[in-house]
Amino acid sequence: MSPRTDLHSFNRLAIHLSFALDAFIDELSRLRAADFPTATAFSFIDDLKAAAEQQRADVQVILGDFAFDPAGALARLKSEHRKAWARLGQLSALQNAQTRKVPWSLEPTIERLGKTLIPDSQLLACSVDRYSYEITWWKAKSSPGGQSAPIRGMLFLPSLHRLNALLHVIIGHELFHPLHDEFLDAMQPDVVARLKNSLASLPVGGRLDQALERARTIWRRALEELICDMGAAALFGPAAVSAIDAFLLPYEPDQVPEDPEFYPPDRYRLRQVVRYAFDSQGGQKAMDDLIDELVTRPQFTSLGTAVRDYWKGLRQFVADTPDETALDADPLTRAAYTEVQATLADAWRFVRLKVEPNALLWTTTSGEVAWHLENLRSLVPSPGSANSEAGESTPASPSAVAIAAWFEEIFNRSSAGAPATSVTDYQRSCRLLFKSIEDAEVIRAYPSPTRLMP
Amino acid sequence: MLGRDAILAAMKRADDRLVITPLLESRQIGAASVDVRLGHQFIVLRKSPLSHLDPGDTSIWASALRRSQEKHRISLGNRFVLHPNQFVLAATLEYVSLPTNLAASVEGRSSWGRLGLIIATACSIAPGFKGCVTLEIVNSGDVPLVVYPGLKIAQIVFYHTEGKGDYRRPELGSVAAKYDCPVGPQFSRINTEQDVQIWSHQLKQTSN
Repeated sequence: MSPRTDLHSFNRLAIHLSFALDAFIDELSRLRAADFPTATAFSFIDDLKAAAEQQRADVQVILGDFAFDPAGALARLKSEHRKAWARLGQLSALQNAQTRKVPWSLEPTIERLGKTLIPDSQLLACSVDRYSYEITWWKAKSSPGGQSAPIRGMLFLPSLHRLNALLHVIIGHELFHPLHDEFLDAMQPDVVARLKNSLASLPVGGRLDQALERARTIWRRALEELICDMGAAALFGPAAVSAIDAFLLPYEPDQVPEDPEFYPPDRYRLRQVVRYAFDSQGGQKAMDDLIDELVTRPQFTSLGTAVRDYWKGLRQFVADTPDETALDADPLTRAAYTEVQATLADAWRFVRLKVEPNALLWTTTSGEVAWHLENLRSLVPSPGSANSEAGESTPASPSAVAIAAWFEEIFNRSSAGAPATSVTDYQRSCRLLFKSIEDAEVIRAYPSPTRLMP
Repeated sequence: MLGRDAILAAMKRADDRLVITPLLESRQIGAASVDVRLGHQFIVLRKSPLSHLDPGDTSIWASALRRSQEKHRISLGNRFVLHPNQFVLAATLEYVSLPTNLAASVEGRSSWGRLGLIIATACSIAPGFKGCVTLEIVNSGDVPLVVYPGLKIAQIVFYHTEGKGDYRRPELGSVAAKYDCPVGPQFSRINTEQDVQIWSHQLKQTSN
């Protein structure tokens, strides 16, 4: 008798699946007892455990059905097996969301920002062994009361940079990924229609429908990243630009979009952020005012000058356009990027609409930056903002603290910031930034106003 | 010792000021002390991976500490249970920056002391120190005690120094570098002290 009879295969698979589900549920129970920075992980664990237990019940039903429909039951069991393994990624993410694996000081702030931008959302930060910031999100099951389904998201941060607080400003970029589809879905039909027209007259080669799909993908992926960049810049202003610039440094800045990610060239990204988040509506004036204020204070004259020089250098970098030359070399990419250019102004309006009503635009709190710089430079965290008239303080804006920390960092990396700072100094800056953000949330949570500063 | 007005004056000075942050309530400043709160982080020593701690044995010091230290971070509103005779390291929620003309000491609060909680044994803080103050906490009572991050657990009193001193001054060498702006509890770095090397190695070689 062949060992691969339906009965043998079925029984073997059933044992494997039951084994895997038991181990899966067991590991979830273990995680339920682990340390996580906030309660968010526990609701993820409970949902995942409920789904696994439901699956275990479903498998029992399939086992009973084998006698009546062996082939059908085997096919269903195989499907359940695939489903079980598809969930393994979430288990791994939860293991990497434990307190010791994530920048826990930032979690309450990340969750608060996430909920403000994406109402009814729950975000879980996890570390990942890649040099990458990523987010995945999905709609959770609706509650029985018929309320709308909450959005669940997993935010992945590079594990080796867990304590690199300055780089984590990039989280602002990731928070816009669950938002951009609303805008892009609305724009896409018109864009596709225009692309169809322009591709018809271009020597793109191959089938038109395939060329159109590729052009649409290039357009959409570019806009996704650009909306997120602009979102980060709207939230964190120059800190976002500096963090994105720093993060992209290892890469070739003029790399044209490539399958499968189709990222826009880094120089192109920075150029659009500067153009829209700073030049188009008040951002650059806020930046100039901020630098002017710093330069007039004797203790920050060199720092203000260093920031001004950095900004000037960045503008020179994006004024050169080898990336656009590279994009123009391919007719299909050129057509897609013509549509990107045509959509960017609306994309920036979309970003502002998400940020402004929630008072999250960085310019609303940029007045705090000098105060935070005073504290950070004195090697003191800065969780509150001074309000000398009332003699009270309010929680610091994460944006203003991040800008102050980045300005100090830009100064430290400049020739004026001699001697060159060591990684120990950088680690200390990160600790102070973490402590500032964490304590700002404590002040925010505390029931009475803070009376004394900082 | 500084009274309330002097503490407030030191906090409002333009340069070289006293900083205690976050100060959630003005009433934390008492007649001659500042109440400080329990921070979020705890270091618990696990005994089983260790035979002993020998600061002179630098080859195993780092690995022994890594194996034996268990770090916990307790979120706001959650509790930490201290069992009888348990020793843990914690830190103040407040980050303290002392000016160069003030020293300070950490003392327990009598309300906690009456429950058997001993807060700090190495009490003094040098002028110029910046950071959260590590607390060596022991439950010396007979029943487990529950503590919550944010509770006012200790108090700091301040003293004027004669002349100025600075914990962070480079000429103090490795001692100054030992605890650099900590934002949580720090385990002992006694192994970095030259004194330990002298008494555990150099003199042994001489006497042999």
